Amino acid sequence: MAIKNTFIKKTARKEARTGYLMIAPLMIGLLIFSVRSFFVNFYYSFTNKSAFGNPKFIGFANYEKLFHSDKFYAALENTFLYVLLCVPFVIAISLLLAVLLNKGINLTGFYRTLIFIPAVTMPAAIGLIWKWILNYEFGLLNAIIRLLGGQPQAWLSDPNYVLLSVSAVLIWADVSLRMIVFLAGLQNIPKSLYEAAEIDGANNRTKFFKITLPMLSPTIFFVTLMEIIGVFQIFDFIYLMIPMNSSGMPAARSLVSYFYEEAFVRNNRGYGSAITVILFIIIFIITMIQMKLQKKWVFTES
Amino acid sequence: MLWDEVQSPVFETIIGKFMEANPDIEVELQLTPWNQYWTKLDAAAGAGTAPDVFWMNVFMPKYTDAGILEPLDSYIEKDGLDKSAWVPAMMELYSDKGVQYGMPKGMDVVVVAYNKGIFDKYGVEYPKEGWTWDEFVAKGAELRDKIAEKGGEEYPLAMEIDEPQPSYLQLLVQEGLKIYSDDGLTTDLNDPKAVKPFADIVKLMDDKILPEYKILSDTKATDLFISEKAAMLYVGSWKSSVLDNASFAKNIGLIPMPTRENNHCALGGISYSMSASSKNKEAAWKLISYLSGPESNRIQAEARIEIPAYIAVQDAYGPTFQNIDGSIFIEQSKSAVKYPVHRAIATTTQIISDNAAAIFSRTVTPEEGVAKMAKEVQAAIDEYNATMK
Amino acid sequence: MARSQKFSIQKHHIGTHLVLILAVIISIVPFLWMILTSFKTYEESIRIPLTVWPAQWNLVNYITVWNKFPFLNFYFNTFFVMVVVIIGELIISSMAAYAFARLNFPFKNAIFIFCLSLMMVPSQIFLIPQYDLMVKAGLNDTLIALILPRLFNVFSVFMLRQFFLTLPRELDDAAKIDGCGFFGIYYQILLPLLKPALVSVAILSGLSTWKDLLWPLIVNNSMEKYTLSAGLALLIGEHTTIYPHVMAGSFLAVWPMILLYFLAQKQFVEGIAFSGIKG
Repeated sequence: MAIKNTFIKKTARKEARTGYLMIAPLMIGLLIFSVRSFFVNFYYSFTNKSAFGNPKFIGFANYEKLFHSDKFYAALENTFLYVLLCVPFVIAISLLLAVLLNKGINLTGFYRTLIFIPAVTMPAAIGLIWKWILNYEFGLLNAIIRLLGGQPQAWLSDPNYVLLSVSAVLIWADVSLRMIVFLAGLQNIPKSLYEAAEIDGANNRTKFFKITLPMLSPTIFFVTLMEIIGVFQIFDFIYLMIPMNSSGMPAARSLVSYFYEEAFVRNNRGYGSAITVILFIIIFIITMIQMKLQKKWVFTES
Repeated sequence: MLWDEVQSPVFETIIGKFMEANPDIEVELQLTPWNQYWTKLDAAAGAGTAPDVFWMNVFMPKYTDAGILEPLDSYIEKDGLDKSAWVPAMMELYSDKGVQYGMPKGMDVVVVAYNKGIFDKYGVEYPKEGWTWDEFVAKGAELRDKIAEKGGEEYPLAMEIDEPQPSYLQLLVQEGLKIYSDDGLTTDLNDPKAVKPFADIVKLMDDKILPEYKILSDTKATDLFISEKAAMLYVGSWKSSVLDNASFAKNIGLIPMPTRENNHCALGGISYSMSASSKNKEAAWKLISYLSGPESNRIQAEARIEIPAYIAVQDAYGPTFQNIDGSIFIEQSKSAVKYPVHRAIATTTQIISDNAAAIFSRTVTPEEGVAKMAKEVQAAIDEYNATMK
Repeated sequence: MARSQKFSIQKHHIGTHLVLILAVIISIVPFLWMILTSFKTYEESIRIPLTVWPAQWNLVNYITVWNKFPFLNFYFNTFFVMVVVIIGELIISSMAAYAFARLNFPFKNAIFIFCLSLMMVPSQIFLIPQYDLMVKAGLNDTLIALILPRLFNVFSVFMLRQFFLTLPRELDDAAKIDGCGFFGIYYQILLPLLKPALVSVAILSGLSTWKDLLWPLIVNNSMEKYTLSAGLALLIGEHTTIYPHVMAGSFLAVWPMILLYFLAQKQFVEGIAFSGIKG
């Protein structure tokens, strides 16, 4: 009895030691690069840190400046508009394509292969390609519009259109990625459910709303959350498609673009840190709300 | 360390010559793109590992304040160099509180380029030197009418109004404004005269002589001109080789800017500066003095990459162009003034361009925009001066 | 009766085909336009009305951008960083995932939840301190700076842990009886069974390195140390923007991953699908 006890204790200790050893590389890395950075960034947001020289503690001055800055409010508004505009379209279109691809009709593989290409392309290239297509003078889109007798637009520099254009590019880029996730989710729904429903005389619509959507709801929830967080951090397309002094920039600048300009173009690092803290708080709140909603909306099998 | 990839091959030649003459000195050339240059320099300077010699621009006071730049006066004195061998406005631009921190590399001038092909096509006479702003506007209006008559697609004029130097900054200077007072305490943007340049540009857009700001933001004015979509262009000398290499370069005419109160040009340009933490200051100075000296200036002039700031070799610049008449740049530079600078220029330039953008997008009137601009620039200057005390 | 039903199904499928064909067109026309433009001369690219086909397929734009920018460095940097990150991340993440899934140690759940909470933090918040760290360590402008912060990925730990949980416990017990230690169970018994999941994590991690723009742009400053993504940002010129050059450069940047994807389509699709596994 006593022997067995020490044996268990010994294995338990060994197990704990192995456990710590095995998470050690991860934890050390996270502590250095994430946890430390998080707090240092938080501290910087209360300093006048610039490119060189020692940062000086200035209390809430950065936040005060932030809350009096028109540029900040515009960036905040733009960012929310991106989320409101992009997320529903990305989810709806990718879900639609996934359902269509899941029907098992001919050529499905061919379609899927080609629709997926944007997902393996770097946003930098996507930005450049679309910048050229959306060019006012020589762009493909305006050429088509002229051909059809429409009015060409300065898609990337007209404040009335620029946010729509950037959103369209983002939707274009994200749909294929999300579609694949939905497709996998659809393939996990047991066929027997549909067969049973067919026996009960259910039509396609009923099947979609009574079986597909509820069964897919955990995936939809997860993808939506990822997409929201992703769009909140929109930067790449704006950076590549819209020059900083463009007439389109005020209507396109996102929080992360603003952060980049302040922290790394103008070297107001402290001020930039404050912007990321605000971004963090927003994403934190939204994640919390989403988690609450998940409990209400998402269908669980139990 | 330098930032312009177009100039980098020429610099390899120059450095090669320098090392031939000074076999005991090894120079390594470092090219860093403009949008990364300052971040990198700042990081290196902060860590005390800045290159021995690097390009500097009007952001200089920020670096002198941080003690990153080596004062050059003692070296100049020791070598007995005559400062008047360089264009005075350029030497002045790179001195701070009477101390020289940079030796001029060359200078940037703005002139007007026009496409003779488009003028001929619509039967409009070429502009003549000594023209006034009104004549310039009339030329634009004439082009506009004749282009419209024949159903053409060209714009009469293009101007890079998304950047101050090749556009409204020149007009402000030509109103006789200094932007920043000599003592660095005030701005004269609150002068009623400061509104006029912006109002004039907006009027050019209203009159359909200059395309709307959204169009100029989408395709850079120089690109519009190079694609033969614009008949006239305010253009900086730093783009001269782009003009000279255009497929229709033989048809490009150059002419000094039209006269407002005057037609002075605010001279910009780059300098060579030395890191205060350099370990080979003697060698670094030798390099700087060679780079800013006549031979290097001549090579750069002949490669069409820079108007010499070294007066004696300025003649080398004009003839090197295959198509365009480079002497106009030199001519324009004769009546030049120093580029308006202030120690807080990184902040104030941003304020000025943000407000200019709002005016050109017509979200505010020129009066409102300039008033706000003046107020914010003054506030930035005050803030800077307060923190420096 | 039977015939009309069959007919209606076909008609239904025609709609599906049309929607999917439209989606295919929208997905690939931008790429086709990039390729067409990249072979045009500058004069052709700005001709109005637009011409679709290049008058002559010439490679001059490719030669120009290839000579102007160090594309060989871009390729090497991108793939080197990708490979090292993938290997490093797989080792670090799978070890931690195993520990979290299988081993008992004090505060395990607290530590795990703490790690998960890091996933909520937008990565931009780390950038300035990480940049400072790199500068202080003299690592800015090196490939190491691109690799180091990417090795520690909570998301892949989380996903791999889910997979460890699906493997039956009996495997561990049997191995234990055979005298296998905890590390042995991880390395010899469970890891080989996890291969598909590891491939998926590798693809996800590779893709995100491939796409990353902000970090390489900030931390590295010489062109020779740029990745393809960051290098593309240089194509919008300081002096003038020649779109046929830009498109040729874009093509040079996008083709390797598209080719890889065609070669290993199944793994790519599974990898992406894997990212949708929820907790």
